[in-house]
Amino acid sequence: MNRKLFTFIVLIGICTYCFFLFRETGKIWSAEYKAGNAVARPIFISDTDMFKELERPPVGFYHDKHTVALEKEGCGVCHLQDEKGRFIFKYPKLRDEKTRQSLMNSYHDNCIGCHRERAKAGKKSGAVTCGECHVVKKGYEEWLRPVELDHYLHYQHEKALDKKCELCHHLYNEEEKKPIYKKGTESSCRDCHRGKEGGKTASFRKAAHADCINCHMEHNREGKTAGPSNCKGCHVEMKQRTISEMLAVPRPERGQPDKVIISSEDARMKGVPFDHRSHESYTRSCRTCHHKTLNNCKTCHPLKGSAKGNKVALADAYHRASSGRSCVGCHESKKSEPNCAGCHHSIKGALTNGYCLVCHSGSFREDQAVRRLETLNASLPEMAPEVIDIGVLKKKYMPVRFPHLAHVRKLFEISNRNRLANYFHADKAAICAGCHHYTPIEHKSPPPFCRDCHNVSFDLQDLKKPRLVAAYHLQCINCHKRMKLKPLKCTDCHAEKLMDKSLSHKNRSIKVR
Amino acid sequence: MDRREFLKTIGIGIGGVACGDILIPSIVNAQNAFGGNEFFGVLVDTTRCIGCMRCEMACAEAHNLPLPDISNDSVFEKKRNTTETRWTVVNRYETEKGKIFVKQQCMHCNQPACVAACLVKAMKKRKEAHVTWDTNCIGCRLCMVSCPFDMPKFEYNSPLPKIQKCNLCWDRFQEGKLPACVEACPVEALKFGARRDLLDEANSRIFQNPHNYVHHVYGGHEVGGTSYIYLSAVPFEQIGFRGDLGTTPYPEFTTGFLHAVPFVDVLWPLILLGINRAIRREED
Amino acid sequence: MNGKTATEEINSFKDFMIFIRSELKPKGRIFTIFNVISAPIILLGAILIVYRLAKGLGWPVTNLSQDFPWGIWIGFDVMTGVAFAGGAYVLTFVVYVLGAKKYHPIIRATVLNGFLAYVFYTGAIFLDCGRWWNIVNPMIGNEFGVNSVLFLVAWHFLLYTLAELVEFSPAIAEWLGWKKIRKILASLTLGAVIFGITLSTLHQSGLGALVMMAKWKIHPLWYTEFIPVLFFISSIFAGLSMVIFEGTISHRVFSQQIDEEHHRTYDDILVGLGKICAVAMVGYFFLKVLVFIHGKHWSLINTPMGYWYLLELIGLVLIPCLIFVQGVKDRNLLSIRVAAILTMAGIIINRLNYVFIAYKWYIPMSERYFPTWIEIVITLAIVFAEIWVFRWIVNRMPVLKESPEWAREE
Repeated sequence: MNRKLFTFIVLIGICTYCFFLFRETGKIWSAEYKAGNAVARPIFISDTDMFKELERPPVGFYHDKHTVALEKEGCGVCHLQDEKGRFIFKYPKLRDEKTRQSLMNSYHDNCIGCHRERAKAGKKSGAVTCGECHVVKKGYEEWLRPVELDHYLHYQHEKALDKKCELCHHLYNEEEKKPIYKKGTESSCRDCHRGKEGGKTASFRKAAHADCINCHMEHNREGKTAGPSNCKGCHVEMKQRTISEMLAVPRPERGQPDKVIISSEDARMKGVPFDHRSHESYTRSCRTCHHKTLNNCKTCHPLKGSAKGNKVALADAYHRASSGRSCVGCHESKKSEPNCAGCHHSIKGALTNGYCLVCHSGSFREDQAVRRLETLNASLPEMAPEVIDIGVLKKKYMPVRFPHLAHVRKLFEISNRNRLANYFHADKAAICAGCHHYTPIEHKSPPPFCRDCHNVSFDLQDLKKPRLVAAYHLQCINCHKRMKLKPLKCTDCHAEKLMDKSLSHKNRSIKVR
Repeated sequence: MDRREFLKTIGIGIGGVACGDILIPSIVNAQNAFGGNEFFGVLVDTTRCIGCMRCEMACAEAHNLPLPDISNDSVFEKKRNTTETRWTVVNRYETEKGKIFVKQQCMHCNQPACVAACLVKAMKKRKEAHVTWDTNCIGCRLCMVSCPFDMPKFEYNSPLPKIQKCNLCWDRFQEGKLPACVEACPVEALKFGARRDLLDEANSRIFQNPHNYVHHVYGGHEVGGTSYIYLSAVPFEQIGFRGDLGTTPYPEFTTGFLHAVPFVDVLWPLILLGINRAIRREED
Repeated sequence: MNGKTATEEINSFKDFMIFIRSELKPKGRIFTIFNVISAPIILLGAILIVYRLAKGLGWPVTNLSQDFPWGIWIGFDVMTGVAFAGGAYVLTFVVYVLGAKKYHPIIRATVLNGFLAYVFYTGAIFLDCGRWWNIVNPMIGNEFGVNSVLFLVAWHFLLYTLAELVEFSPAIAEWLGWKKIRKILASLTLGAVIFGITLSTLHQSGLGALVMMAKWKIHPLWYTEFIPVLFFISSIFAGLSMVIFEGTISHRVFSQQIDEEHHRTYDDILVGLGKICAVAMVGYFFLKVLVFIHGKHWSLINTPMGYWYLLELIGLVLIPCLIFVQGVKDRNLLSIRVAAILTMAGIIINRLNYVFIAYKWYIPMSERYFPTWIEIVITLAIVFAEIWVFRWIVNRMPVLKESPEWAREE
């Protein structure tokens, strides 16, 4: 081989190397990484109904940046106004939706055109080239949190608008093709405005922006108290309402019943007495339960289910434990709160035999009203001993002085403070069963000792049942953990002396998670 | 029952309780459904562990290692590895479900890489599942290179070095006792038993508490299965486990090569001799 | 020019002792630069070896750690050293199996180098083993860990050293004047060669197979199921590059032992070796490229370890390969020698990658392994000691110089 050929081969090698090097490097230096200093997150313009398949990545539009930059000029720069002066939050202003191409041109003409003008005038401006806007981004879900009009916000609106429901609530008249107001039919906007963009009925997003922002801006102009007109103002974490705030909110009036027996004609079980009024105060808004319409549940969820209710039958609608809007589901989530979770965490199954009748009683009986557990002082000294000396493992560990009665009293107290608990903890045996599990609780005789079932030594044949030392620790420590009580030190239970001298612990602290 | 029997029974009963040590009831060989030997194992339920580190203390005591200071939480600030003087460690991980404590030690794989690597069979896999080290070791440290969990630790600072790692308390096992860590755990985050039974128990805990656990038992199939199996409330990668170990037992990575050996040993001499003879004839 | 050999049969043990004592005297100048540098290092190394045996492997003797159990004693002395000793099996294949007389002049030096390399690097293994007093265990059956790649490697090491000894033994017999024994040993040569090539194939690839179970610890650009194959192929050109390098030096140092004709044919030999290297390296390069494409590791190239990989593959495999090709075409001996040196550097880097560079590449710099001065000194001492022994033998036995008359007649 001569010198030339050799040189040529070496050059090919270097070129190949450089090619691969830059190919990989280029990926890092793409616009994607430059965008890391974005302050707000963008809205993605994809218009997939018109564009169908996108040739380039959707454009991430930083609306708040624009509102800040164009504060003086105002919204009219980009948005048209109707005859009443209200803004139509459609973009672009002159939006030609005849074809894909024309829609694309509208966007380009408006956006790039404006940017070019401003750049010419020497003002801070945005992108003008394709790749600066059409940047690849991973996972472009909408970041804006959905806005929920809870009872509190609704009441603010009621006050501000002098209870003129017609200003927001409407029905749609098909013949006259316009909205009309009918008293007594007010419900959530989302009952009708729930489709996707571009449908016959405006999407909730369109409707909400059109109505809410325009009204807020009007009130602002007129100097009245008004809501926010920028993205952040509504689309942020809902503030935690204070108790005083919530106390001031009156009951929304929509002709709803106070108490009702929930039943269905063809159902075999007795109806369930339901205190609608008191449940209203447990929800953020009516939509918590009335998630599609304000009608009662069996309208869409009859016993056999219907297409209207997505084939979810009555039983599931009321009993599904995983749903936030079924009765059982909501009760389950209440049971996982710290005050209840201590016992309820280990009680398996939302629906157990015998509990059906607690709800399905068929009528509002007096004694089913707020029930409280009897106080213990008088009746149960022998049933609920004051202190139990757990000394069965005395050889290894210092005996634990377990304040049994104090625990029982505390649990009774917690139960009595909670209406849901009152309803279900009819009998004090329910509280005992929290710890004394897998055993019947009878009134006159004490439950078995823990050691009667949990052996001292490890059992290879039964891996399910923990041995005694573990049973104590698991039961006690887990309950404290679940109830989010302050951290336990070993010596909190095992007296001042060191446990098990051979394994010197020195006040080893067990932190609750 | 006569008096003798009665006294014997009482005596054993009292003796048993007085003993304090927990005896594995007569089974030093677990039987599977076919009457063959089964592996033992340890189920570690990380949702139960409270980070008390009694297991570390018990392990050190049982094997004459320096006792750790477990009196406070400051050790958890940094992640620790096992060392030649600490055969098991508990580490704390911050996760979306709060603090999770994880006990780490040799996993006693069903098909250990270290056993396959050892050229003198110093690393042995016992039929009861324990992976133990023996003193005929030459100190080549190939077991350290091979172990997917980096568990064997070498006593570099000794002129008579040993390889140190958890041995599932093989010596205690011979006396019918539980592993020291299992015995010491106050909340039974550690359970000892036949591996098959432990897998059943692990799966049933998942089934009965589907929201409390990730639906996977780590060590069930990883690297071909290990004797230490783990349950977790969060994905295992968040608590220090590797998710990329695969299910191939590690010795299989060398079997391809080892199987070629007899072929080379037989064919090469024949081919070389053949070539030589073929060429020689030409030259003559 | 004939050096001293036994001019008469050694008939008695007394004669033997007199002969040996005379041979022990140093030949040539004592205070050469090489001697002045290497002698103190060898002495220091010997002292440090005793220190290491007494103290163990911990700091300050080595920087080995729980994360990096193998350092330069395994990475350089054993893995690289054995790769460099691969010239023996390649050349014996060419000379004895294929019958290419062209390389006969250098065959004895190469075999001697191979033999000494294995002896001294077995010593390095002995030093590296933490429990060195047990090192005979895999040999004597305490116990035979047949499931282990290292067991195979260890046995093949031992047997190969013996095979090399058998291959070299005719030179010893010539030196001692043992005519009948020489005849017997010469007849064993082909068998020893075939045995040696078989063993070499397996232990060269076996050294690679040792790290097969460190799957996720080795950077994906280096880890592949074909590591043993790559190690074997690279040992071909590694060994030959070492032959070229060492031959260049020997030819200069021992030039008075070599006669005219052999000086002339040496160029041919060098070019021939260059050809074999080039072919082997082309094959190796394409195997590496195949492994890379099969592993789809494109995105890893643009990382620091990726650049390191490219340096090793392009800079120290492809480029020396091309230089070999050019050197062979133009019969440019300088190119061939330069290529050999670059290749050797590449092999060193490649083997060290598998042991502590690409091995656990993710460990931060502060916790990585760097050899201590003691490890370096002992390594150098071993290398220098080997060179000393080599020099001693070459100066006395018919390695580079002609065999005695009676041997040549046969």
